[in-house]
Amino acid sequence: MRIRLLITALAAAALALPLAGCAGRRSGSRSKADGVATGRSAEEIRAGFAAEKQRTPHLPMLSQEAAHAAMPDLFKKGPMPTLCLVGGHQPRTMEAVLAQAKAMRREGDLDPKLLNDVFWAVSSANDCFY
Amino acid sequence: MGHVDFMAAVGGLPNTYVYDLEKPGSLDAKRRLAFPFARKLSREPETITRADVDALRPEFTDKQIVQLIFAICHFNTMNRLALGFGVPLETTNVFAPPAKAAGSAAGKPASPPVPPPSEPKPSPPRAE
Repeated sequence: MRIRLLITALAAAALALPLAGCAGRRSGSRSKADGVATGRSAEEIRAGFAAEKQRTPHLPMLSQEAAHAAMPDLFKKGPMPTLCLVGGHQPRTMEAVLAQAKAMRREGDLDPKLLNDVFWAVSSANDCFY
Repeated sequence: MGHVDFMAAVGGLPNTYVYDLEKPGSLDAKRRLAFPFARKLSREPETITRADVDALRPEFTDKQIVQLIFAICHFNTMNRLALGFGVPLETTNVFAPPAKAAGSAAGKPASPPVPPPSEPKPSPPRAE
């Protein structure tokens, strides 16, 4: 009986994985031999974005007002990204993380467009559609 | 990936731009070197060797390689925060200027390429 329950639970967990957002999508099967790109189709990317917008955060998000009050120097002209709404529970840490990126870009001379493309390559490697 | 798509839209790139980043044949020399390095440092950092770094040298200076590694590590941090927090991708482009924020994320006409608003405007892009 216990074994049957365990098998049922494992099967349910396996079925739930694809619905679990980024964390459930990571798969070694995405690695291409040339290592340059993962080779996702446009349809796969669009579906990934759509699923990502439906996620429920694992942790409570601050309101936009509370996040702006806690981190007044970030995203002054518009809404905070959802990452900052959770990260804003540790506002000084969140600010420091973004300040690190600022320093990295300021001190280097790599083309910002190239850096954004590398951001894609990293996110793609991590199966992170955020 | 969604935020890169947002930034590409703000930068005026075509709404199919990010799709091409998944096609090795469409990448220039810098990206053909930087992407596999970024993938390896992200997924198998313990396997990075001197040869991996040397492979970047035809297109990157030492200082640029340092910046590239800092960038890759920062992008991994952002990915892991997003995955750990489980936050949803925003339904509007959070990097768009306020007037455009209600528009769709991709394919909108562009102002010059810019990083997220929290960051300073970079110096003009240089020829690569």
